[in-house]
This record gives sequence, C-alpha cells and structure tokens, in this order.
Amino acid sequence: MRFSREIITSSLVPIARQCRRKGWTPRRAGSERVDRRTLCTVVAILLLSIFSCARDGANNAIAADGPSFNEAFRFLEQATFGPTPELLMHVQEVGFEAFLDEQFSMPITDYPALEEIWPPQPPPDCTGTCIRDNYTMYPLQKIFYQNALTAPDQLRQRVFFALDQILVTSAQNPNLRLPSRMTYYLRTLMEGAFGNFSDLLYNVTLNPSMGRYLDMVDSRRANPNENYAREILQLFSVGLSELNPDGTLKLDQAGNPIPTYDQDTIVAFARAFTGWVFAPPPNTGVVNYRDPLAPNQTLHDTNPKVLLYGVTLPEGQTAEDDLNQALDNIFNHSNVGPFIGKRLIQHLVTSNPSPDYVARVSAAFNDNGAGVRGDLPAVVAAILLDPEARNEAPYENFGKLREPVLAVTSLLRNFGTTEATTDFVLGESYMPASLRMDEDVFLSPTVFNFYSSEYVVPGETVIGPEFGIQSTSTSLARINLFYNLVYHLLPISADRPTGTWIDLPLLEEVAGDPPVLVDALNYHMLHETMTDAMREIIIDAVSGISPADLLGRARLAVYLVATSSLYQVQR
Amino acid sequence: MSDSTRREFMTRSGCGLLSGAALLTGFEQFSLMSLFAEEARRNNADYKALVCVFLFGGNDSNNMVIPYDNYADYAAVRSGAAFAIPQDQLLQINPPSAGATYGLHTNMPEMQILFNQMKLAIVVNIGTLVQPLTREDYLAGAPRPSQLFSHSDQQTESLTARSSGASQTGWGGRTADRVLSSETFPIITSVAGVTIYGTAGATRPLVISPAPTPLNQTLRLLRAEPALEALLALDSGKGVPTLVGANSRIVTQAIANSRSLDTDPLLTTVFPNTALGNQLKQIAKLISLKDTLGMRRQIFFAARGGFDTHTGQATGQGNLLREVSQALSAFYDATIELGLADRVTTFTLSDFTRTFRPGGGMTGTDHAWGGHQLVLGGSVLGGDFYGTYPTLAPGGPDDTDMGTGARGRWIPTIAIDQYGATLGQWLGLTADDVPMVFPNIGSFAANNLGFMQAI
Repeated sequence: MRFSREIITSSLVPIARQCRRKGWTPRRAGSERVDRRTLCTVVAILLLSIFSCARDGANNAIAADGPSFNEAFRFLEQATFGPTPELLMHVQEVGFEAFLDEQFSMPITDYPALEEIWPPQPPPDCTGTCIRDNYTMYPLQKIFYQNALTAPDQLRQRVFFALDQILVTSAQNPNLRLPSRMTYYLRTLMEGAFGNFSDLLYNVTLNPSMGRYLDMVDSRRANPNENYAREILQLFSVGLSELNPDGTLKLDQAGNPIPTYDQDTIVAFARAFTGWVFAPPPNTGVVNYRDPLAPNQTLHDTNPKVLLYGVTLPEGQTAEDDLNQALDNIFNHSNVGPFIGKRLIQHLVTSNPSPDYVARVSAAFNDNGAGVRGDLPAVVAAILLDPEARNEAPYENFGKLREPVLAVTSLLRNFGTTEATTDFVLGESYMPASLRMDEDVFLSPTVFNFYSSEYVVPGETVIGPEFGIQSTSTSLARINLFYNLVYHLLPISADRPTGTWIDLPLLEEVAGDPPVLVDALNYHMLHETMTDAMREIIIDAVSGISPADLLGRARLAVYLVATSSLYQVQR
Repeated sequence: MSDSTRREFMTRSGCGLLSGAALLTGFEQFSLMSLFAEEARRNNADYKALVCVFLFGGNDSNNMVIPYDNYADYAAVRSGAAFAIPQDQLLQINPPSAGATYGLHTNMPEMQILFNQMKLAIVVNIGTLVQPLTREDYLAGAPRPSQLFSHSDQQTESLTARSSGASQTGWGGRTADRVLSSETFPIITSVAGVTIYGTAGATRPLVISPAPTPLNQTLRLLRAEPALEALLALDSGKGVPTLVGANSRIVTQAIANSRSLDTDPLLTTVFPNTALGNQLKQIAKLISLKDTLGMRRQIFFAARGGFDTHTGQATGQGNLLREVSQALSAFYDATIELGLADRVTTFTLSDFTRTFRPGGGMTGTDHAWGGHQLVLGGSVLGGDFYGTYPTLAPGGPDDTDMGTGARGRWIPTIAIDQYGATLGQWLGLTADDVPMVFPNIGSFAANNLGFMQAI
C-alpha cells in the first residue's frame, strides 16, 4: 500500500504537533536512544504505511490537555481489540470520555439473523462447504475476527467477547454447532453488552441456545433439571460466596466464607425455572433457536419456592411470574455488582484489581448516577476511566496476560491488517495443530470458559486467569503463530484463501538503522515500556542481519518484540 | 529376548548403535543385545509411573457399576430413565469382597476382561471428605467439603486432596516433590492442558499435545533465536512485572524441554483414534523414552470432558464410557509391550458422581457426590471392589437428601486423600511423606486402601 507524498505530508502535521507538545528531549543523557524528533517521524511513517484511507490531517486537532499517544495506546488496549493508528489519533483528539460516548451510541456491527432452515442433522446432499457453512462455527468465527479487526464499534465487540466468556454457551454441544442457532445467542449478547444487566440476564435465560446448553428447556415439574439453576448462580451472577462491595469475601465469626446459597436454593430455582419449551418452529423440520423460549404452564412447578435472602415465590404462579421474580431476586443480590464488575475488569484491564477498584466499579453497577442499577455502559465506563486503569505507572501485579485471541488481534491491529492481508479465518479449528492455543472462539470446553477467572499463577500468589491455558505447549504455539504472521507463512487452503500476515513495507525503510527500527517498535507496540536491556538485545540481533535484507531486519525486530513477555502481558 | 524388550531396545538405542550392532557376528550381536535387554530390565525395575485419567463433568458411576443380583434396587429408581441399562445387558463381574454379582456398563467389555484378569480394581463410593461422615453427621451439619456439588470446586478438591478450601498445589505435584531425584525432565506431564494436579512447590508440569501430533512436534519452536531466549532470561529476572516474569518462565521451560523431545517413538499397540485414546498413546510414547530422558518416576495427566449429562445421558455417557474402556485397555496393552505393565498404574477421578434419581425428563442426572473409580495395572490387586457399595435408596442411609424429593447423592465412605495416598505410597512416598502430601490423611482410619501390590 502506497501513499502520495501529499497525504504523507498532510498526515504528518498532527503527529509532529504532538511530538512538539511532548518535547524533544532524549530519555536520558548520553543514551544511544534516538531523540523524539526522529522517533516521531519514524512512527509517523510507520502509521502512514498502514492507513487504508487518506485522512485530512490538517483537521486533526490534538487537544492540549488530552491524552498522550502512550495514554491513548494503553486505553485502547483495554477498550478495543488493539490500538490502530487511526484510533490512536482519534482518542488523542477527542479524549477518553468522548470516545466512550461515541462507542456507546455507535450502531451494532452484528451477527447475521440467519434463517432457521437447517435441520438438526445435515441433509444427505449437504457436504463440504455446506457442512462448513451450516454445521460448524466457521462462518461465525470469521465474523468474529472480522469484527475484532475492523468493526468501528470496537468497545461493544470487546465487551461482547468478555460477556461471551462469562455467560458461556459452546458449540462443543452438538446441538449448538449450527451457526443458525448460535448466532441468535451472539446477537443477544451483542445487544445486551450496552444495555441493562437485568435485561441481559432475562434474554440469556430465555435464549434457546442457552436453554439447550444448560438444559432449562423442557425442564418440568416432575423432575426439574438443576443445571441452569446452579450455573446462573455460580457463574452468571452471584458466585459461590457472599462478597463485600469491594469483591473480597465476607467471613463468618469463625473466619470462614459464607456460601451464597445451598443445595435447597438450587432446587428451588430449578423448580422456578420449569415449564419452558422451544417456541413453535418457523419452518417445518427445524427447531426454533431464533425466538425466546415459550412457557408451558402444565410443565411448571407451581409449589412455593424459597430463593435467595429467603424471598418466597408464592404457590400457584405462572412460569413467567416465577421466572421474572426469580431473576429479579438474583439481579438484586448484593453480590452481582462486585462479582460481574470484577470479571469485566479482569477481561478488559487487569487480573488482580485492588478492592478499591472493584468497589468503585460495583458502585457504578449499583447506581449509574441516575439511580439505575445494572447499567452496563456505566460499569464499562467506570472500569476504563478508573484511576487504577489509567495509571501510567501501574503496580507490579497490574495487567493481564493477553489471551490467545487478544494476542493475535492486537498484533494484527498494531500493524493495520486489512481485508487485503487477512481472510479472517483465524479460528483454531482452521489452524495447523502446532499453532493452536486452546481458545477456539465459541467452542469453550465447558460453561466454565476456556480458563477460570480465579486461576492462580503457579509459583505466584497472584491471579492470572489467562495462564490457565498458557502451558509449555500453548506458549510455543503462540510464538509459532506470531512467527507465521510476521513472516507471512500461515498456510493457505480452500478455507483460508488469502491467509493472514502483517505488512511491513515502510518499516523496512527505517530498518537500515536498527536503533531507529527498534525505537519505532517500542513506541508503536509497547507504548515506550521497553527496557534499555531489551532494546540492546534486539538492536544487536537485528544488526546481525545484512543491511541488504531490510525486510529480514524488520521481521526479526517485530518477531522479537511480539513474542516478548513484555508484549504478551497487557499493562 | 522377548518381543517387547527387543522393541524397547530398538527404541532406546539410536541408529548408530543399531547399525553398529548389525555389523557384528550373529553371536556377538546376540550377546550385545542380551546386554541391552539386561540393562532395560534393570531400568524397568527402577521405574514407576502413575497415570491420572480425569473424567470432567462428573461421571455417573451409578450407571457404570450396577448391581446385578440386587438389580431391583437399581430398577426401582432408574427403570424409567432413557439411559437405564437392562439387567441382561450388564457385563457381569464378581467382586469377592462384595459377595454378590455386579455388572459393568454395556459399553465396557474391555474393563470386564481386565477385571476378570485381576488387573482392574474398582474403588467404590469414594469422594471428597474432610472427615468420616455418616448421614446423621451430615444432616447435623458436621464439617463437609466446601462447595459440594459445584463442578469447579469438586474438581479442584479431587485434584488437590484439600477439601476444606482453596489450595494452590495438586496432590500429583506434591507427590512428585517428594519422590523426585535427579530428573532433569519434568516428572509430571499433562496431555490435557494446564492442571493444578501437577503443580507444587518444586514441580511444574510439562504440557504437551496428544497424538496424532508426533511426540517430537508437540513442543517445537519453529524459529529459534538466541535473542528470543535472551529476552526470556531478561524477563525472568528481578524487578520484572509479576505476570511478565511468570510468562517468561513458562516459555523458558517449554524451550528447554522441547530440546529433549526430539524423537517420535513407534509403538506396535494400536490405540483407538479418540480423544482419550490419543492422549494415552502420547503418554505411552513418552514412557517409552524414559531411559533416554533418565526418568525413574513419572506422573501423567489425561482427561476427557463431557460427563456432565444433565440430559442426553444414554448416548452421551454411553459413548464416553466406550471411549474410556477402549482407551484404558489399549494403554494397558502398550505397557505390556514396553515391559512395564506392573510399573504403570492408571486410575480415574471425576468431579463427583450424579444423582441416582434421574432428572431432566428422565434423560439425565444432576450433580451428586461419592462415586466409583477404576484402577488398572499389573501391580493392582484387581478383580475386586475396595470400599462398601452404597445403598441405592434415595433418602436412605447413604443419601444427603431427605423427603420425597430425595435424589440419591451418596455420602462417600472413602476419601480422595486415602485413594491418593495408596497410589502415592506405591509410587514411592514414605510413611513420613504421606502426611506432607495429604495433610488431612490423619482424619481417616487407613492411609492405604490395599488395592496396590508393593513392588
């Protein structure tokens, strides 16, 4: 991709302006580090190399008191699937709050409302791509990566991905392997991401995919199924133990955690959730996974039930009344704010939030400032604008290991990967075995997600959920995949006609000067957190490659930064 | 020289040795090979391995080991269930200590054969416990494991043998810490992802992918760069952010271990091409490299998910039990092939068993507690039950539940701690080690259930 000199010149203006504002002083006297003028110019060239459209640079006004490049970079790592040159500029221009407002009101880049025409088992004439497109997650995974890499409503997409890992369904269940079924669950989460958690819980509960996955559909009074009752409490709302507003455990007088519920509570909720069946099918021969489950009063247990806080559902209520009141009972439990708030923090910002941070977010859950409980945009804004998230010098345990999906999307977005350089077929099912990292989107092994939110890093005292799938095996797979992306080696096939890689044409132009090359990547991938020792190692390695092989130098530098633990951990 | 030792000789000696041997006269060749065979036997005699097969989701062992003589107890509650096994389809077994005929699930004929060959033992009504517990104790509120009936908690407690709360180490890892000697390769290998089972103070499990990935491809860095390793060393040091350092240490271990796994040994034993079959195949391959890697003790972790059969149990569990039976049997055959049948012990664990009274429209079952586990190997005192088979009566003497809604969630009579201690002592834990690995073992009468033969 090439640009006219005119575009380059006009787009340099705002970057130069920013660089001027930040000052030009080298980081330390006597350092080999190139000064900021050179650096900013290099970065500008780098950014331009990956812009897909011309921008009217003259109109870009970076607010004097707005976020710096590095501040915008960190923010976008938490709020999107990775900073892009365009968003970096934009956030510096408008600031965090305005960016969030834009995102909250942006149209949804949604999953398609697929027609319910596919029978549970493939008809005999459906083979090959017919199977791939109608009986596997292929089409939905492709949309997922397309959205993650290019959709404008990045924040919704990112929160959607978090919610899909908290309120889990999975196409590992053979009933859900049809995209025409799963897509309606994804649409529910996508819509709910910026709605009220109460509505989300209701819509998830009556979504047919969830109904099938956790067996609420067809659960009847004669033998109520406990599955959904247990997991909605344990995983989707209140958790196992009573929590303080700051997410820490409440303890009894003997110093022990206090269970939020017991087996009798589970049975009571299971009975409250009886009497729901699939809605009538839209076409003959298919099951209705599009419309919410429908009540069937004859299957509903009308006996009284004692729920959380001792709240009793009276005898003789309808399936709808019991369900509504049971969900209200859950939604209003004091655990929901800290429980859901902490999980969202872990997915977006950091694995080990301080209790104060959790308390601030759970306060936003409890009241959005206008007296509304469960307003998810308010929660998301509280998470992303919190001083702990925005602190440029975070504490030692801060951050999160990038999960495989975010590791890949971040790298690709750092280099502006477009439709020309990816076919978006990045689901692990479509990768060689040696590149799989145990996070195949929409195919979680169980309702407990790919990894536990409480996983403790071996040998440490800190939580690192994503370390639950970072093993000797998957950690090498991750490095190997990055190698494939950087060196343009990912095998193509009928399912992956284009392949996926990152283009580095203008990075090559500075590769003649290894310190400049490495400093550009420090700025552009690590928001200037590279240590001097790391810088020296990479400069030495790159300098070992002939200056005639500029592409080789650029690739090695990106490979080394991308596979470094410093890059793998989002801080 | 038996076939199996010859195969092992071929596996262990490299091409150079083999071609060297081929140049010798027949007599000399014979002598040389005898020498290797003798060495192999000596090494085998100094080797032991445990293989944990975890059945994630909660295996309904009430439908895996069923009374045959007392079939009426089963039929009274389950006859209307879609997954009930008719009496005439049970695979009969006669455990002497139980004094009655029982039946295995129809899809487990291999396990029936191994039970009859005395290689398979069944430990009955075992589960998480913090102390011995009767129904009266339970109903009176006596101490019990934390978060009973929760998947994640009961899995973790089964893997850590700490039922009273959170633990950051697994009993496999703690066992490894006590028995490790000079091994440079990790004692514990998981073919089923990261697991707390294999983690302890000094032990970090190696995780590799299962077959059909060739063993020498399971840990492979496609592009090695000195600078990449230099950066890992840098990021493992002091002053590095916690998670950055933690990640560096995992990758560093992966690269180090990958250098040891540079061959892909062949086995004659045919494994079923299933998830569990491929995992156990990879384990068997790795065991065949024990002398190359210098291993004297090993612990392996394999797993199969999908046992959470709230609905669709007839097909769901039916297929899974077939897979388990075929895979375990093939693995046992592979240990015979390697001349290590009495040196390798395979055992199952699961979250819990499931409610005896069906739920989910009579097509499935919900979460319960004490269940039955399989132990397989040449050193297992097989062909019998260990423990007391529960009374199959909802609301009866072994149930946690009361009243007309009682589901049959059996209170275990054997603790995971005792099961683990029995296996751990066979592997090499001393009497002093046992309470270090199983800190709560003193709460139970026996620290050895007697199903393992000391060798």
